[in-house]
Amino acid sequence: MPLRERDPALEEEARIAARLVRGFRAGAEECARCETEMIERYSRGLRCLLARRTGDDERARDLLQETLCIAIEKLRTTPLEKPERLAGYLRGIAVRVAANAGRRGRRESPGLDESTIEATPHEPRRQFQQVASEEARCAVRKVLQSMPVERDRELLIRFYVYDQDKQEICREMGLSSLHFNRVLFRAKNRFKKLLEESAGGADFAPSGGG
Amino acid sequence: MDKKYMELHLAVDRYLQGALSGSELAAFEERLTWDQGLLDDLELAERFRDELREVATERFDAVDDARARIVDWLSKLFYIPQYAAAAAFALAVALTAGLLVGPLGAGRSPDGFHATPTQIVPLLAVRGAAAQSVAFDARSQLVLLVDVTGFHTAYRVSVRADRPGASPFWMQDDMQPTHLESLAVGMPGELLEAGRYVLTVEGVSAAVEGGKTYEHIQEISFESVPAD
Repeated sequence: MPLRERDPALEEEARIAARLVRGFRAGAEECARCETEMIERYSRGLRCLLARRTGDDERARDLLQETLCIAIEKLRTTPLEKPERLAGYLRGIAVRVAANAGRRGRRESPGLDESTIEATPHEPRRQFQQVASEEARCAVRKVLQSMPVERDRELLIRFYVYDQDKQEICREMGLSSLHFNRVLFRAKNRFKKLLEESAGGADFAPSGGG
Repeated sequence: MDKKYMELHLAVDRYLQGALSGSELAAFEERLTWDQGLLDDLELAERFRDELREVATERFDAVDDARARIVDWLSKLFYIPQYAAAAAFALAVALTAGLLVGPLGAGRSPDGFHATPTQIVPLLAVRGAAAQSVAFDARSQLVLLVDVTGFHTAYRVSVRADRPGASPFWMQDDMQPTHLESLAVGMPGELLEAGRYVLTVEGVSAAVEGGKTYEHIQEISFESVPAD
């Protein structure tokens, strides 16, 4: 998986991360500005990660605040060895916070800094999340109907409904990896376009970059 | 299409499946913290997966409903004793046919038994009425359900084409009424080409010499209409 390959978005992220980490050690004004920027940049992703690990979206909101509090406190006092890996550092804290929350097993206040709580941005619902379930289901049906080959529809069902492994599906159905990738990619893109139409025609945020 | 972008797209699905290895998971989640496009892709893929599951469930439910309706219909049908008996006979015929063309037959499939669809068709003898039409699939096993009267020890049923001088091409002897004076006559559907036929029912009596005598009971005319 080429996630660590150098690409423009990754390089930009490294530059921004290094600047933010340096900012925490600068003057109070710069420190406050960097805190705000860090919260804005990483909150959505961290909350998503926490929600997936805890299975509780509301709890993830609390744990996000706990994660950011720990990170800010540490960054103010201890320099990072690799400032460009701020994202990895934050992810590590979030994983530990989620694990600890799982061990606590109950909702309790982590004793947060109120100023940080207020600074945590409220995540607006993404445009395609606003599309009603029935419309989204209609879009899925249209995607399925638009696929002329029954085998491709079966591929989607096997992968998404039965959670079958890609290699297993390709082997059993005699498909190449490339064909598999294309079917999935096109189906999701078609779904995205249909949701865009349902949501009012405006494009969603472009994929593939930060 | 950007290959790397496509691979990242697929990593989203693998993440949702929980199929990423430890180092892949760490790298993916690290990128997830800042890559808004990846977050969009993840949420979109998750929505697509969830809605697809809903649609698939709807389809399965529809199939289950159809099955439930069929079972309900059959249970009502088989509440009638004659049909219940015929069903038992049809099952026996289907199993026998399965054994013959399945593991014991020369042309059996490597997977084992062939599925043999069975159709149960009541044949009604109404005096003065036109010949009854029987629609069936030639590939199916046919069970003709015939009411009988009288007090014979057994019955013989034969089927012939409805034309002068035609000989029976299907015959079953020593049949016992399955239930309440009803006979279930099983035969391969492929024997009945489109046309008119006569089903003859005879009562069997043991003769003094140890042989059998047959007494004509009734004839039922019917017309075969292949379903397809």
